[in-house]
Amino acid sequence: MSKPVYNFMLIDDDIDTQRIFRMVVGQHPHRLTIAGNATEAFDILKEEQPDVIVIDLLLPGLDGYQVCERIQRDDLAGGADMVATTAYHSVGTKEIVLARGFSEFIPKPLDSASLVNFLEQVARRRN
Amino acid sequence: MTTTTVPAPALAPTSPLAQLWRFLLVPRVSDRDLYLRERTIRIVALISLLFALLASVASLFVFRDVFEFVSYPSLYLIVFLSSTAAMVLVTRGNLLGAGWAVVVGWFISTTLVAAIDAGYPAQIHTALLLLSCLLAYSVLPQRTIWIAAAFATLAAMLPTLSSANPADMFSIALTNVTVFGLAALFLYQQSSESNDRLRAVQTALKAIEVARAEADLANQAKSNFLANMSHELRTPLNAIMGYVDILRYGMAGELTSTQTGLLQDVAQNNTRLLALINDILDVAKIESGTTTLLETIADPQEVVMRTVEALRGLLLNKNIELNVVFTEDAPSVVLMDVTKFQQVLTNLIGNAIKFTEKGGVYVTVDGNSPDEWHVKVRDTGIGIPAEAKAYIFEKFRQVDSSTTRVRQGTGLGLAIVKGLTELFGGEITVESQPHVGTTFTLSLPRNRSRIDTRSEAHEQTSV
Repeated sequence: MSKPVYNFMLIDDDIDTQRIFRMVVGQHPHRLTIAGNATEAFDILKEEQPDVIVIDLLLPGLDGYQVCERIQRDDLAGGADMVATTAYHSVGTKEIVLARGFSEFIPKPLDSASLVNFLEQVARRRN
Repeated sequence: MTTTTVPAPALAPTSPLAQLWRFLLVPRVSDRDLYLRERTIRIVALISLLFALLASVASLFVFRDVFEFVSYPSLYLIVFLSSTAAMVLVTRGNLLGAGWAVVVGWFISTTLVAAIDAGYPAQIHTALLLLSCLLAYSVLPQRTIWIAAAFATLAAMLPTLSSANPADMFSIALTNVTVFGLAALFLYQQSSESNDRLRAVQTALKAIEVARAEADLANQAKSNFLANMSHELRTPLNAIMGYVDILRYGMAGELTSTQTGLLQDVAQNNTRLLALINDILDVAKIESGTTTLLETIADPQEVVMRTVEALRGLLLNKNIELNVVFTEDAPSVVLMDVTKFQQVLTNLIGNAIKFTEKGGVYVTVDGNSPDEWHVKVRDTGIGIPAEAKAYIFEKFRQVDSSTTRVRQGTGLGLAIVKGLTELFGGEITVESQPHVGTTFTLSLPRNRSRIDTRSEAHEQTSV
C-alpha cells in the first residue's frame, strides 16, 4: 500500500468519542493519540508531532479555543492543522471556529464512514 | 364597568294608566349605569312637566294685571314645552338631548322671571334650577355641570340684587348658598365615586401587567430549559450514532445482511431523533428571541440557485421536475442572513418535493414591489385542505398524520420557517387546493436604505 500514514491526535474528554475515534481510525494504519484535557495534550505534544489535531471545543479546564490558541502561539505541534468539533453547533459555527485559528470544522455526530477520509484530506493539504 | 341586566317587568300592565306609567318611567336600556341615568331624567322631566302645567294653570287665576296674565303662564309654558321635548327625546333613546332640554327650559324661564319681576320668590326657581343641574349631571360631562351650577346661582342671584330690603337679600343669598353647597357636595360625592372606580380599574390593569411579566419570564425559562435539554440530549445520541456506525460498517466484525439492515433502522431512527432535537432547539431559540441574524450583502438569485441545486438529490426516484424562474424585476442584491434564508427555502422546497408525486416544484423569485421581494414555491402535489391551512404553521401540527406516515417530518419545520421569516421582517402565506397543489409565498423586505449605507460588502463564506 502506497498510501501515506499519518499521525492524528484527538483532544476530547468524552469517553464515547474517544472510543469511537479509536475504533474507526484503528481500521487504518494511521497513528492516533488521545488526550482528555489540555494538560494531557500539552504533555503528549512534547513527544508527538501529529499532522492533524481534532479538538473538542468543550473541554474541562482550558476550552478548545484556548488550547488551539496555545498550540499555535507556542508552536507546540509544528504547524499541525487543527480541526474543531462539537456537538453543540448551529449555523455559523464553522465561520466562528475558522476565525479562531482552526482550519476545519466537523460537527458531531462524527460520520464514521467519512471521518478517516476527511482527516487524510486535511493531512494531505499540508504537504 | 360591569353591566347588569335589568330584571324584566314582572307582570304585563293591565290598566291604561299603568301602561302610561310604564311608558313614561321605565327605562329601556339594560346597562345598569345608563338605567339609573335614564330613570333620573324621566322622573325629573315628568315632575317639571307636571309642575309647569299646574303652575301655568294656577297662575291664570292669580294674575295681578294683564302683563302677568300673559307672562307667567308663558314662562311656565316654556318649561312645559321643554319638559315634553325631554320626555320625547328620552323615549327615543336620546338621553343627552333630554337632559339639555330640561336644563335649557329652566334657564330661560328663570332668567326671564328675574328680568321681569324683582319681587318674585327666586328661591323656588333656584331650587328647581339646581334640580335640573343635578339631572344634567347624569347626562352632561362633568366639566359642564360646574358651569351649569355656576350660571344657575348667578341667574338666581339676579332678583336679590334688585331687592331693596337687606333682610330679603340675606335670606335669598342664604338659600342660594345652602342649595348650591348641597349641590356641590352631591357632585363631589359623585366624582369621588367615579375616582374610586377609576382607581379600581387602574389596580386591575397593574395586576394584569404583573401577570403578563410573570408569564413572559416563565416562557423564557421554558425556552432556556428546552435549549439546555436539547444540548444534553445530543451527547448520548452522538455516541449511539458512532457505535451503530462502527457496527454496521463492519468495523467491529462481519455482519449478516439482516444485522446490517437492523442497524440501518437504528441509524435512521437516530437521525430522525437528532433532527427533532435540532428543530426543537431552533424553535426554542426563535421563541426566546435569542436567534441572531448574520446579515450580509448577497445576490438572492445566486443563493436561491445554490439552494435549489443542493436539493436536486431529493428528486431521485421521483418523476417530477424542479425549476427556478427569476422575473425581470427580481432583485440582484439584498441584505440577508444567507444561512437562515437557505434553511427556510430548503424546508419549503424539501416539503414540496416530499408531497408531490407528479408534475413538479416551481420556484419563482420576483420583485414587483418597491418595498419587498417574493419567493414563491409552488408544487403540484397533494395540497392542503382548507381547515388545515389555519394550523400548519403551528408546532407539531402535521396535516392528516395517517397519509403522511411515510413522509415523516418533525412537525416543526413550518413553525421554524414562519419564525425565521418573521425574524427577517417578512411574512409567509400559503394557498392550496387539495389534489391540485400548494403555493407558499415568502414576502421579504428589500431593506434598500440599509444596503445603500453599508460601507463594505462581505464575501460569502462557503459552507
